[in-house]
Amino acid sequence: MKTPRAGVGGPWFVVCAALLVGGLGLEFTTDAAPAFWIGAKPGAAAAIGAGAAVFAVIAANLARLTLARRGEGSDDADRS
Amino acid sequence: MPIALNPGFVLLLAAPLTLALPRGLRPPAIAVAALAALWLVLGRDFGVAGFIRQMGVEMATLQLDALNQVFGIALLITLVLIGAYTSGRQNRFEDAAILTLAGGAVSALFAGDHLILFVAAASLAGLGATWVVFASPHPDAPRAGVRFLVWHGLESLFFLVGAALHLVQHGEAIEVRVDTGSLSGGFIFAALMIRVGAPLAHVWLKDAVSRASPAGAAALSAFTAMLGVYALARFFPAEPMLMPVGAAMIAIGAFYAVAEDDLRSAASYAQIANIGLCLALIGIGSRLSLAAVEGHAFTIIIVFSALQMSLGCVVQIWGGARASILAGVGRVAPIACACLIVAGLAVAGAPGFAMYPTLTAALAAAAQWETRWLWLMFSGLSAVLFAALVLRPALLLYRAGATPPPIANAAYGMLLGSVLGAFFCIAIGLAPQWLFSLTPSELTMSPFAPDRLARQIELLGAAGAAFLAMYAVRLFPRERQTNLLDLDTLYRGPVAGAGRWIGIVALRIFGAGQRGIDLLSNTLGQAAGVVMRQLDHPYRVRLAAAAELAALAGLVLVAALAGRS
Repeated sequence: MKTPRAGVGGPWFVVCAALLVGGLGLEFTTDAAPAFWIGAKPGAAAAIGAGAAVFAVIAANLARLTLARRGEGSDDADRS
Repeated sequence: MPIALNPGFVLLLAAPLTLALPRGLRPPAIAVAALAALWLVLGRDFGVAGFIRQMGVEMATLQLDALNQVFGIALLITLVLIGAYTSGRQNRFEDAAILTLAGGAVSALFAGDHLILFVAAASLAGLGATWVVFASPHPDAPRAGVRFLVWHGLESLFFLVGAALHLVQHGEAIEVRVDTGSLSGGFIFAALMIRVGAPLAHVWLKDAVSRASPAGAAALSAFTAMLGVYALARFFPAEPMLMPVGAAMIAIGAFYAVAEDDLRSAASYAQIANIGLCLALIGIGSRLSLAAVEGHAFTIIIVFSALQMSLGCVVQIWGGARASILAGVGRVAPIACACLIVAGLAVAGAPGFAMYPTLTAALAAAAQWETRWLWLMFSGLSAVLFAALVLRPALLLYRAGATPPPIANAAYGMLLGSVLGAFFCIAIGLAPQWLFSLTPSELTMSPFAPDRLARQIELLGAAGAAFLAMYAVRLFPRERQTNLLDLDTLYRGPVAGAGRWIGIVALRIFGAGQRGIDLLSNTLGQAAGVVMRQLDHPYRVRLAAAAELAALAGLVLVAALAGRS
């Protein structure tokens, strides 16, 4: 088997960017029900999604900094 | 004439049978038992049947309605998938344990409003769940099983007290809803908080799932906590306390799901977050929100079982499902990893996958000014889980650079179960109307309306692009083999240490007390021996004899005086 030279980060980024652009385009061109608050207005979902990604990165860093212990011993023996 | 038999009893009857069956017949027996139970669910009209009288209390063994039908169908479909999955390995004790767990959970569902039978069946399901953990070959399984047993013991105690008080105050059946303000309601509510993995009790699910076998993990995901969601929807609809509890579960689950190294634990935390979403919807209490709970619970049961089955295949092939060791596995186990990505997309609510329609129903139910914070959390949760259970595993599984070993597949049965699970993840997502038609107040919304579809793909696209950009510039921490501290560390670490210390001190005090008693009894015995020996020789002239004589004379004098008066 050949050694893979590239991961899947690039293709996934292209797909996500296409989804973002497509979603924004569709949202701004569709007649939607009136938004019940600012978070439901067109374009707000992109901000929520980006905010959630930032939350994910901060949470992962915070958890690794404060809660992580080196995995050793039987706790890490995942073989079943 | 339809048979008035609780469908869960079929599974309970099949459980001991599987202990005696040869290996090749056990998986079909599980699937046939599940299909027979499904036939019992679908083969009769709604209503109450199977009345029995026990210890002066009359109860019905079967109550079929729209609420428990939805949960029952989901659990029994999942059991069929698990039946296929178990053919990939041999462990008759685990097969029997899974059937006991499933039988208890399904029996509890169809106990309906009859509290005693519900509590008995739920406790049986708890015992079955601990048996599943004990039956696992994982080296930490016995200790995890004991911890799990303690949680279920506590839950059963609360259930027992609550049911007993309810029986005294209100009778056996629950008429409308249980009041959390009453003593009986409070105990039942506390028991259900443990069952669903509410904050402070949220650790048992990931502790048990990460130590269970692949098949056991799928069974635990489907049959344990989801029974609690059902019970809360039945006994505590529109309970306002459930909204903050659910929100806390979403926050805790999302926080740990992105950071956990062990992907099986991460999936359990993601399930906790989704259960929190269900609790918040029950707390809202409108007809739409309760219908959304049922739909979402249905998809949680199937999707998280499928996710655990896929992860189980990875565990079997690679020896573990830790993110830190998964680089390049996608090229070694292509089918299992494809199923994992499909299940991850379903968990994230990607359009066309199982959780998307029920997530849109949940968002519609929370789309009010008063509950906008819940709406925001529901939206954010799907984006966080997209990063945690789709992008992060995909980047690791298909990482560049490493030369992978040759393709290896899990056992055929395990792959079959995973592929069937992935099929359901897609089928429900593409055609959700049949699921919506099962809910008590039929959902009439269209999840594929352009505005809803646009919103969700925009949300996931933005989350994915932002996450991948931060991943590329190494803002996301490097994968390392770590264990994250959670509340269980407290009772496994300091509290367990304090317990051991208290035990040692108590043993020392007990030993010192015993030694003191021995010394005292020896001294008293010697003194008594001396007195007895002296009594054996009353004729010996000594001071003690004079004292005895004086005491005897004194007694005679007292008796004489008493006789005169």
